[in-house]
Amino acid sequence: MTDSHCTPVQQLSAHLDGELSPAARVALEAHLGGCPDCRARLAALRSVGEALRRRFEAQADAADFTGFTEGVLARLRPHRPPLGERLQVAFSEWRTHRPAVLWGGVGLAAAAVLAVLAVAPLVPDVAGEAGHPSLQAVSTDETAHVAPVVLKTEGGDAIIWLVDHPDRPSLSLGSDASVPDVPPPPAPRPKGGEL
Amino acid sequence: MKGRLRAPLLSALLLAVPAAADGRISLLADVVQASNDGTGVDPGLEKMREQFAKSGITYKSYRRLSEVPLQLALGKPAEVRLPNGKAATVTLLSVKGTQSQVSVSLPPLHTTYTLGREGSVYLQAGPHAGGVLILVLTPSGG
Repeated sequence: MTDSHCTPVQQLSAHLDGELSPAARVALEAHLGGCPDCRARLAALRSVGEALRRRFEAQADAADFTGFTEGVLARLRPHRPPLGERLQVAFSEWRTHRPAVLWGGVGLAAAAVLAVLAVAPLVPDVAGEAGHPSLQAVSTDETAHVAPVVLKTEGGDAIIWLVDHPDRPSLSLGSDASVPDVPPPPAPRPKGGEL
Repeated sequence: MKGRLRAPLLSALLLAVPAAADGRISLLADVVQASNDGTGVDPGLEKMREQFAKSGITYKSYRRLSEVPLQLALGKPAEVRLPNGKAATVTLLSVKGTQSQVSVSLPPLHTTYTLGREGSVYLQAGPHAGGVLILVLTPSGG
């Protein structure tokens, strides 16, 4: 777009907006002093600018901005990083600011796991005692010449069988039953056994 | 709903726990003769035969000679007489909650054990008529 006037409207507008360099502003103002046409155009341009500013300010004053801030904030979605990243950050923060608490917690957790592992093998035995018989003591008379052998069946029952004791005279069982080959009980005589 | 569940639950508890709150328990004492004469196994003893066989004690025949219900009161011994002339003395030593401790004296064997809700204790009771007697003690609900 060409301008037939001696000063382009863009330069006049830039002058009104204070965007001209000092040298260009000095040169323009020198020109305006001797050019009534450019002064008139500059005045008209300033008037239009003032009118537009007043109009926009009036529209802005008429607009209802009640709840505008809250509405904008409500539409914002908080950034939630992935779990791994959050754990990493948390671990890093605890390690930096509360190392004693962090490592103490890790130690307690490890101790708890070890305790559970240590106790776990005992649990079936306890339950077994409640469900099946549990022998506390098994013995034979000193003069019996036999020793007890305790066998546990697959079903949790207890078989108390008598076998000849090496240090005692033999006692006939009265049959040819096959008795398991069990080691002799501890000398001098067994005091009992448990399932 | 709760009322309908209460009675079965109580019944189940009473049946599951042989130890009574009044210090009395019920046991069933079976006297079984095991031998290698014949192959007969009385009804209800097949499981016993299998368990004995798996434990290494093999007899071909298992006969139930008697079945004696025992009502044990705390500290009062009950006697089970065996056909070979022996006698087993069964005594309830203590009752703690659901745990009942019983002693059995079947000379020359003496044992003390804690009763379970189920399961049996088999005690070799000496020779008898070409076989061997076995005293079987099992908790019973009654």
